[in-house]
Amino acid sequence: MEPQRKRKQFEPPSLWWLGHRQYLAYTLRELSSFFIILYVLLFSISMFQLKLGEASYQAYERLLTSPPFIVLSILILAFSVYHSITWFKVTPTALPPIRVNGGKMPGWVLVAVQVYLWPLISYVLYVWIYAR
Amino acid sequence: MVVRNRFEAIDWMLFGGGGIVAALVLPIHIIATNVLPAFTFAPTIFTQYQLTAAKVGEPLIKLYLILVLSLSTWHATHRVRFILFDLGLVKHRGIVTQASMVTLGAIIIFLIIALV
Repeated sequence: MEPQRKRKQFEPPSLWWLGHRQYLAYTLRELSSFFIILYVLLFSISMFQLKLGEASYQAYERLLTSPPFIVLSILILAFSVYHSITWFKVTPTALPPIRVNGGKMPGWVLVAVQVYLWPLISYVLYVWIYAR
Repeated sequence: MVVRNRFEAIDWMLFGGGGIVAALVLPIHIIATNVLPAFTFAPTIFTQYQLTAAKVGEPLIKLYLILVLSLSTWHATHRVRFILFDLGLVKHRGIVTQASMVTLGAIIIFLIIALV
């Protein structure tokens, strides 16, 4: 029996993502996830400060409302919205097909459902958790 | 091999679920906790210690936050891991995977400690 030859791992050329506008859009879309991780980390820190007491929480809130953090927060929001829009667009191909009455639900219906649900869910969550 | 396939199946399931959750709910959380507090007129409780502590103290909200943020983090670390491979770190696949799993675990544990 012929010994199996180890297949060489494909290595993309360096800076390939700068080669085309679509490659850059793809890279930014995937890197938007980094900002989601950053947000979860910042939120966890705020909850930890809350646990430590009022003084710690207020100090953290002051930091959060300083100009550099406002810029960071807006950047996180922008990438999160970009993540949402691009995710809605890929769901018909990323998720298994949904069958309704024996037929396959068209991809655009799935996208439309999510786009309509998005503001509704956001409003409900805001009222439930954050509204005064 | 079977274990690896099973792990991949769970990974993909959590990745898909986390993607939907992150897309539908994260922007409003970011607006309410990070963006609105910067403006004094913002009608959010997040700037007030007592109100936030009372709200986050509710078990259902704790559970909701842990589930939603953990799933979102799972989704996000998966995507960051694969884009790092695409950006040239594929030759360090093992190290990148381990680092992303450690990061994922550490963030979820920290989130639970902070909320519970």
